Amino acid sequence: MRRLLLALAFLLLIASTLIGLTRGQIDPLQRNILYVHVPNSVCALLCFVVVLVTSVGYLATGKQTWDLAATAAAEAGFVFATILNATGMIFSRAEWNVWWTPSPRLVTSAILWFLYAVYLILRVSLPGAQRRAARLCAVFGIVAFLDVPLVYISARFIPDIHRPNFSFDSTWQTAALMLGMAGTILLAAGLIWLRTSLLRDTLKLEQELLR
Amino acid sequence: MFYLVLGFCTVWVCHFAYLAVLDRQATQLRRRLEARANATPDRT
Repeated sequence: MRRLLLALAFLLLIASTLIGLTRGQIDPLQRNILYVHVPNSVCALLCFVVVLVTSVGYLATGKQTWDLAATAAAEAGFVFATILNATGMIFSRAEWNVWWTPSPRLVTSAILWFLYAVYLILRVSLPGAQRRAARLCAVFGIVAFLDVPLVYISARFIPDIHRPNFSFDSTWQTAALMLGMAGTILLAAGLIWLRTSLLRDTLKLEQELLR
Repeated sequence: MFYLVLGFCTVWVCHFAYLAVLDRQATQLRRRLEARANATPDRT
């Protein structure tokens, strides 16, 4: 099932790329980076929503599955946030001739990446009991979520070099973006699912070995 | 064209790198499970 999900995600991403670079091509050429930048950015934010929900779930119930899902979502989110910032920088260089500029959207997006990085460092470096570390990470996950609405509203309410939205000229362009969006969301779901079950199995094995 | 190729390559490299990490972890877990199964004495 997970393999099917990942395979479907990659098929959708390939379809999005093919349509985006042929029928749905945006002029000038470098703007086609939007077909990968936008879906990955949305997924980076969605992964933080998953971290928030699972962290609240862990604090409310104390069940380890929530904690493992939060870790998996943070890892996947880190990958998507890395892509968000990398493709954003490449687009910025091609479009505005600068790699990075301190605009509200770019700064909040960079903070998002650092928050994911700090979360993952906390996960592996907190001393003491596993339950205590999991609780602290859950609290950090909830507090760090505050950056997500900031990323979303930054370009809408504050003057910014980054556009708040992008309008397309043809349905092919919209189709390419929507396919990319669906593929990336499926990929994120598949990665979180895969990682959660891997973490659960590893933990189960380690607990059995300790007995 | 250069920036477009760079952008798309970055995305695919990141996705496949993370998938490779997950695959490696799954392989390690499978090996540990196999080693444990071999080390467990047969009680029948």
